[in-house]
Amino acid sequence: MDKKLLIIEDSKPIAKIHRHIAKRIGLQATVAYSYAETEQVLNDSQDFFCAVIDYSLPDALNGEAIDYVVEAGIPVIVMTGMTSNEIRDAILKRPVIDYIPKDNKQAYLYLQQLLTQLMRNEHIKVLVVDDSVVSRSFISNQLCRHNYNVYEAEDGVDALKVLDEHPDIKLVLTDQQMPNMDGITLTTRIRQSRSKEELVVIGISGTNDASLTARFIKNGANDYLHKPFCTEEFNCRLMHNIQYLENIETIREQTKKVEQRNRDIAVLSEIGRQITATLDLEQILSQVYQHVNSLMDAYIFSIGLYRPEQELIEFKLSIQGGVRQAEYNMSMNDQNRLAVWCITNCQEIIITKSQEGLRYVKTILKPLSGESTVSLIYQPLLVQDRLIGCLSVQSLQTDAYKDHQFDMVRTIAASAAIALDNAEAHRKLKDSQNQLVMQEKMASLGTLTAGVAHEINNPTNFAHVSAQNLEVDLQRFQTFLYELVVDETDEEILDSFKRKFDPLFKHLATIKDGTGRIKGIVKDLQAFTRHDMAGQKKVKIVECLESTIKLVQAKYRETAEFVTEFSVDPKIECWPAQLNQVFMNLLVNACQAILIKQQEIGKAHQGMVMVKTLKNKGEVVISFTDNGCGMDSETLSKLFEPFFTTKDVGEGTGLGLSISFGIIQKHKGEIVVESILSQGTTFSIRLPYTGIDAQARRSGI
Amino acid sequence: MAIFKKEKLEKLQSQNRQEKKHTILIVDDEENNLNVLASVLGMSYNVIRAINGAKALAVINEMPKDQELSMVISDQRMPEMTGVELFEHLSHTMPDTMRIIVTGYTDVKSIIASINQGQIYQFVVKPFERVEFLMIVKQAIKTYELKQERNNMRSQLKNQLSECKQSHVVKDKKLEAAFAVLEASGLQSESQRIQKIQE
Repeated sequence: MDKKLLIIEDSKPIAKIHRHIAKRIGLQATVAYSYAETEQVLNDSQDFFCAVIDYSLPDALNGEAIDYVVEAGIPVIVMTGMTSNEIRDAILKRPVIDYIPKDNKQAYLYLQQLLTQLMRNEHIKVLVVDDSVVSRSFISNQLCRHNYNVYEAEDGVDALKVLDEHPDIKLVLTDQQMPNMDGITLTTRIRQSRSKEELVVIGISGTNDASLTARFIKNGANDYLHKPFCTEEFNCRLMHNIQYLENIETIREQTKKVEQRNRDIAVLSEIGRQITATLDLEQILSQVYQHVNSLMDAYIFSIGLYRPEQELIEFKLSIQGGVRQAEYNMSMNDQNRLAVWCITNCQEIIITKSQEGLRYVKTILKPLSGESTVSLIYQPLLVQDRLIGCLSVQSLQTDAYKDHQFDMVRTIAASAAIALDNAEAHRKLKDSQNQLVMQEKMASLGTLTAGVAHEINNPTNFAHVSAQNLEVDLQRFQTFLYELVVDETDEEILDSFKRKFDPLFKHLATIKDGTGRIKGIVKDLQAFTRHDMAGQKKVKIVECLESTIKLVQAKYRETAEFVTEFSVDPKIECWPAQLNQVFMNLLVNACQAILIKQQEIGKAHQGMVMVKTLKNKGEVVISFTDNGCGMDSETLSKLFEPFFTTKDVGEGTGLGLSISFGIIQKHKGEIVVESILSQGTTFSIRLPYTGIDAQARRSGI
Repeated sequence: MAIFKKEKLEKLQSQNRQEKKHTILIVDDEENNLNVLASVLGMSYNVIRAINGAKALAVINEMPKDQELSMVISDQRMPEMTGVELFEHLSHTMPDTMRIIVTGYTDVKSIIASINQGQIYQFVVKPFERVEFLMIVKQAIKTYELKQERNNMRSQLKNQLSECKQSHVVKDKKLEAAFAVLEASGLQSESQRIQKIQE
């Protein structure tokens, strides 16, 4: 509630000026144009902070209004157009604050200053120290009139006691000659703990000793007044000293602000440095949160990444009360979401009170995650002109954030945006690097097998065929031997022959098994280099899938239930035999994963293999999901590497998925895998509708 | 008391002794492969070996004229001369001989080349199975025999044809002599009639 100013002025233009001044400095003005009106106003209310009164009014020519108002206990400032000394004396005889001759524009500025000062004085505590009650109350009255908050003390000792009780006293007016402790000693004592900039001391004395001024000043007084003094001089000196104090105060505050700002900048640049030092998304997210939380109330904190191609915001990080919440997505079509507004308009949102959100959206919805909050900041994450997402800090309190905290959020958002963008770029780089490494591996494996296959095939061949030759010859020799013996030969001898022959055949079987296995590996390896373009056809993918599923089902009917969901069935230019090989591979792997899980937890586990086809922008996505044993991240990272296998030695060559990878690549597609240990695995194959492009066809033939 | 009797041995040996009608030339730069092939084929066929393409041609040249070469089995990848190059040559000089390529290297180009240039009978991928391989060879030999039979029949046909022709000539001469006698006997109108009939 603003303070009230009473304006008593018969001239309407001047009253208008006064009213304007009052409004400017935050006072509520009431105007009385005559003595009579003044009476009416004061009858209603006497609750005025101050009154500005024209000396002569049409119905009160000699300052009767002044007396009337003073009597009502309201501080008075007199404005007058009459500048004669008699009138001046007549005014100053009355207990008024000041009088202002309205001879020029300066007068109104002075009035404004004076009123401002009066309002401020209310908060300034002044201590008057004098052993003489008369002179003490004279000074106190003067001060009260100027609206100061006045304390009194009767000597130095008493003064120190009052100062202890009220450490926020800003100014001490002290007499010199006092019992117990004189003014100079008091000044010295005060200066032991409080500097000139903290507490103003003004010495007062009635003696004519000129050296006293110097002694006061030298002992630490800010100023000195000689009794009896002119009240105007007294007021001016007082005001001057208080302004000095205030200026010092302002400088200190500014210095503090600058220091705070510097500290903020240091903290922020450190935060920026830390956030951008890592390329790991998770680390960035948690660091941004920790820093923001240390600087302000981040009861709810979230970072959303904008995915324009999917038209949604992916909230990668969402924290409530220090607890991480599940990730979630927000559709960009959800127009009533503040985050969507922030991203759409690429502007920050600052909400400090409940219902303020209605400035941005039509209705305030329940949050997708977490509690409803009152203070919210949404800051777009921008890298140059590129929008990558938004960051939000929210509190349950009203007005939870200050100006400098908004600035901090802006700065942190800028750093976070750069860090997140870098992380994203790094992730993409790493992905393509991995893919390159994989392709490189495949390519070198291809070259290697092309050369090595022949080299291995030759020795394998003669070993393999030799073993067979040996077997045939051995059988012949055995037959020959049996036929050679005379008919009446002892059974025992014949048995001993047999016992000698049996291990020989076993050895041969072992050799044959070995060479057979080498043969299999080489054949698998050659799948990489197979350049045959034969068998390329335009076929319906679902037909391929169904026929392969039937084959696998025949063997694994007991293991798993096969569920299919074919939402699209495009015709694709491909090598159906090779695609079938891939499908077969993935399906058998899925069944084997289920078998492993069933071995672990018992037959009760109902195995399921789900095969789906989906359409996705010029591509068909074929996914194979099982609820088998799943894979850990280490297995996942090596999955497509040639010769990597989790199966027992001899059970798998570790080439199945590598070959599948190569085949899908040849079809200009992509194969990806997601897996959770002991929960299951999904392989997704993406194939372009266009099928094998012309380039692949050329290079193949 | 003896376990084995000599009479039995002789009987068995006479049983096992097969007559080998066909000769097969095997070409491979790998000695071991030659050994293996020889022992696969040796039971049923006469086997000649060559360690490379040039040697193979030399062996063929030195063969006695009356010995027939039923088949050549060659490795594809050999130094200096590949199997296909060897076969391309042989397809001109001895087209009837069967040609089989054995290789550990399966690329489309060499398969196409061996079919078109070498005009091969079969393409066998190493490592192979003994039984399958023997089947292929047996089939090839069958084909060769059919070819031979065809050739024999063709030449028989030719001989019969020339014999026929020969007998025609004799008959013609006899007729001419008969006409001369008829003309001389003065039966002109009669002979003219016979001539008309002949025409």
